[in-house]
Order: sequence, then C-alpha cells, then structure tokens
Amino acid sequence: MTLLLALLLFAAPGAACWILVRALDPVGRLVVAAAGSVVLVAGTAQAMLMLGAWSPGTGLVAVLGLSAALAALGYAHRRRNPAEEPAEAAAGPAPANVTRADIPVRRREDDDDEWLYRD
Amino acid sequence: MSVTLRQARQPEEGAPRGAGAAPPAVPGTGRPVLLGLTAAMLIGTALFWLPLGGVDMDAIGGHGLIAVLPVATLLGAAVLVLTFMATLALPRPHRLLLSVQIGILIMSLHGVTLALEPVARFSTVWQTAGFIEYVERTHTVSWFLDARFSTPGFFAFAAFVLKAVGQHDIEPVLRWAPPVTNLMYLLPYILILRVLRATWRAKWFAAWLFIAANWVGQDYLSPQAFAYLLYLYFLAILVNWFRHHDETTRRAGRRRGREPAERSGVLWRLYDWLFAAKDPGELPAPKVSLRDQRILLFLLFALLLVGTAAHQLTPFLMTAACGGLVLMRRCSLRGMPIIAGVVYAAWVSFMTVGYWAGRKNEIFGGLGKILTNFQQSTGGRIGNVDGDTQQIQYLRILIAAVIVVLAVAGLLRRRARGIDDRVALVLMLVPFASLGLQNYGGEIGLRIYFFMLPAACLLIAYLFFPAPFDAPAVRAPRVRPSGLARLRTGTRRHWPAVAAASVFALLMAGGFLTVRYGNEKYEQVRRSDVKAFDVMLDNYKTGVVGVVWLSAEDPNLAGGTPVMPWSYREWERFNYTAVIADRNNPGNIAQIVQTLKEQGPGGFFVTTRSHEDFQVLNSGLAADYGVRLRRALASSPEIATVFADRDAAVYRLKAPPADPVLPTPKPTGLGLRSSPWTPAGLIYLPVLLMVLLARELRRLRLFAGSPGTALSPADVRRRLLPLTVLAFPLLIAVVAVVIERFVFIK
Repeated sequence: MTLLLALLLFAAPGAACWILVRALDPVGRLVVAAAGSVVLVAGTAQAMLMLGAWSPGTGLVAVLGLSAALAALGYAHRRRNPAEEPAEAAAGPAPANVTRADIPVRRREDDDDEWLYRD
Repeated sequence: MSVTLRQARQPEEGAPRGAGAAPPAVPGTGRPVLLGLTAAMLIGTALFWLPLGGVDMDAIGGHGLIAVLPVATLLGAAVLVLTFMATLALPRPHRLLLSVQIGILIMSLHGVTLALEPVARFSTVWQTAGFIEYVERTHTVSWFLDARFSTPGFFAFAAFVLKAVGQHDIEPVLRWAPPVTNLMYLLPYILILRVLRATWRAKWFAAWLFIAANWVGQDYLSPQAFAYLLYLYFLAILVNWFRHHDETTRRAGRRRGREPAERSGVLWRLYDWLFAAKDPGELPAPKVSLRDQRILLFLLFALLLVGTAAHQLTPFLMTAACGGLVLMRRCSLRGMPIIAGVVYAAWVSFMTVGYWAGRKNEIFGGLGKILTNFQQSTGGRIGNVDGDTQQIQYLRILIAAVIVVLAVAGLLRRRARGIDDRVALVLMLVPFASLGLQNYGGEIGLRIYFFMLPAACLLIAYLFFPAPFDAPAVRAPRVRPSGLARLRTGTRRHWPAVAAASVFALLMAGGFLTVRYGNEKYEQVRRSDVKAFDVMLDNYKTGVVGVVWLSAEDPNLAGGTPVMPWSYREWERFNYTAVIADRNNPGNIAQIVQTLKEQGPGGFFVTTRSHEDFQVLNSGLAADYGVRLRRALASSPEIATVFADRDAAVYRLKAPPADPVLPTPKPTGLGLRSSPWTPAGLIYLPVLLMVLLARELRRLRLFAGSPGTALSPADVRRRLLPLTVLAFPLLIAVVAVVIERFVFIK
C-alpha cells in the first residue's frame, strides 16, 4: 500500500513531464520524466524546508499543482502544433555507421535571423 | 582489394526508420538455447538464495561475509555470472533476458544481507535516519548539531516522501535502499550508453560492470547516493541532447601541416595516433526540437539546484564534468559550467555559513592537501589493523587499481582503432579534480572511485569489445580458416572476447562479495543495538543523554564515532563522550565511572558487540576485551545494568550526580547570517542566474533548426554579446559579495 502511494506520488509529476516532452524518443522521454519527477518532489520539499514552511499536506498540493501546470503546458503546445507527431521527430541516436559526413548541411539562407546581422 | 563493412542489425538501437535498404539478416538463436539460459539463470538464483537460511552470522571473522557464505551460494553467483556472459555470446541481444539477469544481479550482490540480517546493516545508515527523523519532527534543521545539516536537501526530500505516503517506520526503507538505488542508477546510465559508438555487447557488459564494480557502499539511503543519481541524470541529458554543434556542422576544412602521405617516421606516427582525425566515440546526437532543448535546459538547471542543496561534493563534480565536456567540445552549453559554479559558490556562501564560519583555517588547510588526502585514502586507512581486515583493505585498493589500469587499456585499444572516446575520457578524469579540494580526509578516495565508475566500466567493456559496430561474419567460401582462426569467424567469432570477459566478470563478482561485505563482522547492526538507544531515551525522558563509549584510540585524532546506530532518532538529545580504553587491563573501569559522573543524571555507558569487534579488528584490542569489560561493569557496586544481552549493553551509575543537567538544544535552522553587502547579493544573484540562463537559451536558438547552421564562433559571440556584457558586471558583483561575506562573517 505504501509502495503504491509512493509510486503515485512520483507518477503525477512524471506523467506531467512525459506529456511535456512529447517529441522525444521513448527512452529519452522516460528518463526525462523520471528526472523531472524526482526534481519536482525534492525541490518542493527543499523549498518548504528552506522557507521555514514545512507542511507535507501543502507540499503534496504543490506537487500536484505544479504537475497539472506542466501537463497543461504540454497540452497547450500540442493544440497549437498538432502537426508535430512524436513518431516523426522521435529518434534515438543515429545508427553507428552514420558519421557527421552524412548529416545534411544547412545553408545560411535558412536562418530566420540572418538578415539582422548582415553587414 | 577493397572491403566494405556494413553494420549488422542492432535491434537494441531500434531499427533505423525509413532507411530504405533492409539490414542484413542475423542468424537467430534456437529456442532450446534460450530456454537453457533461462533455466541456468533460475538455477543460479535458487543456488544463491536458498542456502542463505543456514548461514551462521556469528562465525564471521576478519575476512567478512565471504568466509561464511555457503559454497552453493558462491556457486550460484558463478552460474549467474556465466549465464549472463553466455547471453552476451549469442548472435543478437535478447534484451528481456539480459535485463532480468541484471535485475537478479543487483538483488544478489546488493541485497544479499536482506536474507541474512534482521535490520538494516551499517551504522552510518542509521544516522541518515536520525537526520530524516529530525526534519520530520522539528520541521527544520539545526546547523549546530552536525555539518551534514548544512546541505539538508536530501533529508527534506526523504522526510517529505515518507510523511506523504504515511511510512512511519524508516527501517525497511534503509534495508531496501542499496538494491533500489542501484536499479535507479541504471536508467540514466542506459541513456549515457546509448549515445556511444559501441556494440550491444560492450554496452550491456558496461551496465553489468557498473553494478558489480560498485562495491564502495555509497549507495545506501544517503545524500551522496541521491546526489549521484542526479549527477547521472545531469550527464545523461548533457551527452544526449546538448552535444557540441561541431559534430553536426560541416565547414570547409583547413589543412594543417603536410599531406598525410608525406608523413613518416616514429614521431609522425605518434602524432597521428594522438591527434590525427578520428571517429568520435559517440554517435551523432539525436535530433531534438528547440522547445525540447529549452525544457531540458530548465531541467538541467533544476537538477543542479536540487543537487547543490542535497550534497556538498556532487555539485562540484557536476560543474567539473560539464566544464570538461565543454573544453573537449562535447557539450554545446558553454555557459552551463559558469551557471553551475555560481550556484555552488552561492550555496556555500549563503546557506552553509554555520559550517564554514568557525572553520576558516581548517578549510584552507584542506585546500591543496593533495598528498595527505592521497595517503589517507590509501595507506592511511590501514594502520593498527588486524591481519585479515588488512587483507580486505589491500584487496579494495587492488580492485580500484585494476579498474583504472584496465580502463586506460580500453581507452588505448579504442584509440588504436581510430576511435576518440572523449566523453568517457572526460568522465574518467573529472573525479580526480576533487582530490585536493575537499577536506574529506580518507574518504575522498572512495568518492573518486565511485564517480569514476560510469566511464571506467564503459572503457573496460571496450577493452573486451572495442568494435564500433557489429560487423557481419565474413563469408568467403574459398577461405577455410583452420585451428584457432576458426574461432574468429562465423557466428562464434565473439566467443574468445566473451570468454576473456567472463574470467574478469567472475573475478569482479567474487571481489565484490569479498570487499563489499568484508567488514560485516562489525558493519552488521543487530536488533539490540537499536534497542540500546531506545532504552536510554526511555530511561531518561528529558534533557540530553550523555552517552559514554569506549574507543581504543583517541577519537579526536582518528575522527572516530561509535560503530552503533547512534542518534538514529531524537538527534539533539544525545551527546557523545569517548573513553580511551586501558589496553592492559579491561577490568579497569575507573575512567568510565569518572566520565559517567561528569555527565550528570543522564549519563549512560553503551557498548555493542559490533562496536567491540570494530575496536578489536581496527585498533588491536584484545579479542576478549568486550566480555571482560562487561563483566567488570556488571559486578561493580557503583554501576547499574540498564539493559544487557549478548549483543548490546547499557549501564549507568547507581547514584548519578544531580548536575550538570544539559537542556535539549532547540532547532537553530540553517544558521544564515548577514553582512553589509548580503542584501545586494541576494538581488544580484537571481538576476545573474536569469541572465546566464537567457544567454544559454539564446545560444540554443542560434543553433536550432535543422542541424548544421554554419555560424562561425565569431558570429555566435557577436550575437551573444549583449547578454555577455550584462552578465559580466553582475558576476563580478556576486563574486565580490561572496568574498565580502567570507571576510566579514566571523
């Protein structure tokens, strides 16, 4: 039971981070979600201790609130850019026989800001 | 003749999507082989765990647990190791089988004492419990009680989680922490491994070694174990998504020196070997959108903050690792080391005043004591020690040395193949930077080993499996290799390397069980040890308990603490005074009685079997010292026995003096203090961090989009100039405030 509760405590921020970084590959997404959940829970606890406002109940609400906010950010982004499907962008590292010579060269004209800096 | 090598399919990487040409087929493995391996794994597990019920923990001597483990258990460990290696010898990776085996390895190596000991092992673990309990109960910390309260991040985290899930008894958490922590380390480690240009065998073997070589015992429930997890996450994110843009940029080359064809002679060969063009040891970074990079940058920053608040050494290593990657052009976040350094310096200056204000001389003494630190780390830990325990100590040093030597050999082997493993090199060297910085005393050697492990395990795996990718078996029907050469062809061509790695793996697993539990005679904690401290609190309800304990050497010189679960709760209610043992006469208790009288009404003398064994093995007390001392105490007319059984005993005076009565200290918080410039610093610091972060976000923007924007470094610098100009005076101001605080606060 306790174990289940602990999982739930980390699952909420983890799921929020998972939603937030939709474009990453699955393993990367998992690691980001795990790191994000640890950071969020630990950061909340540390902030409470250092501000002298220790209260586990409030902390729990704060963790859930922050998770909800992150998840909302993720959803908002998805609504604005529905085209960006995770499957396309998702890619782990390139296979081992790809070298930097295989990477397409991007031309200077493609840079949106380039005109600003033209002499 | 020209030979074209194509990469064999690497299912572990995920098949390349939309690559067009189908990769060459790989011979499959028959089901009987897989079933056989699974059966061997199960038999090994059963052999390892089932006989553990009959182990006699009292028979443990100076060699530790290995001497009392049943032969069947050791056999089971060997079977588990060999099964894993056999799985590595298969033509393609069976990820489920490999993962399950690594899971069993973690449980077997790091969790073996779960079956042997009734409560969590290792007395230092219980002090963490004490800190966590203190935070839970008082809702704050107390810098005055212990230096570790200056970085309370982890204690706050653990206290919060335990409270939130309603777990009041921390003991099961302490017990299960080592295997769970090691399991958690693997997740970020996998992410680091997958960007490397290596075969699946090298990667899986590195992950296996990372578990088996981690004998240093820094993975218990503790700030450093938690911060290490954050360190691994930090590195994984850096090497995955913030690689140097040079790797993804193509620019017109510039010729240096003569044509390669003109180069000959030993010197040129050496030069080429060192500096000529090489394949990077890492794969091209995965593509990621600007938005995701921004999110990841914020995550890195958060990891840095949380890590800094949790442990005093780890943020330094995060800074150094990031700086090393930047210098070696494997990280694009060139401002990140500065951000990390500012966060670290600010934390030390603003939040740990209580610690450094009274110890300025000590800290400067610690700087640059490299030689002393090194001696303490190696020779210094071996002094007036029992022969068996000393052998274990030497074995530890031997294992550490072998790991370093093999890692260097692996690096050289890859280099000879024209592969430049810079990330691994940086991560291997960075921990040594901490050698001269901390006045950690002898423990810094263990820490360096611990932080070196991710890279060292990888390089050792390269020593056995150096290939950048799996080349298919060369089939030329006319060539018929004979004898040993046949071993190097066909589907069995990996077997010699796997066999060599198996020998090393067996030695490592044996070495782990020996040195990790080498001090189990006194590192085990018994129920009565914990009860002894409960008894003292129950017998003296208010005020400070004056604990008197026996030490064979002067603890002020040796930096000793009792080898007991001391202060595992009600931290502020204990005060410790050591009595130096009379080596010639264990029955001489005059000193103990005298010290008890000085403690007033709350004075107790406590001793445990583990503690006595520690004094016997490490300080050369007579083997029956504890027994004779207890007999003398029990028969003394002045002393009353409060609690005594075979494992632990608590004594007090029959007629204790009425004073001194020490009041229980109230929580003092973090002990923050101000100086004239501090308010300014508190304003500059967040602004500086925001500007530096904005600068990194801007840099990400400059390199965003499809990879390979051909911006010259001068261009980048020009476009970042406004933010650089803004950050510079702020940085100077913050540094000035840090220095002013250090000079002003006494």
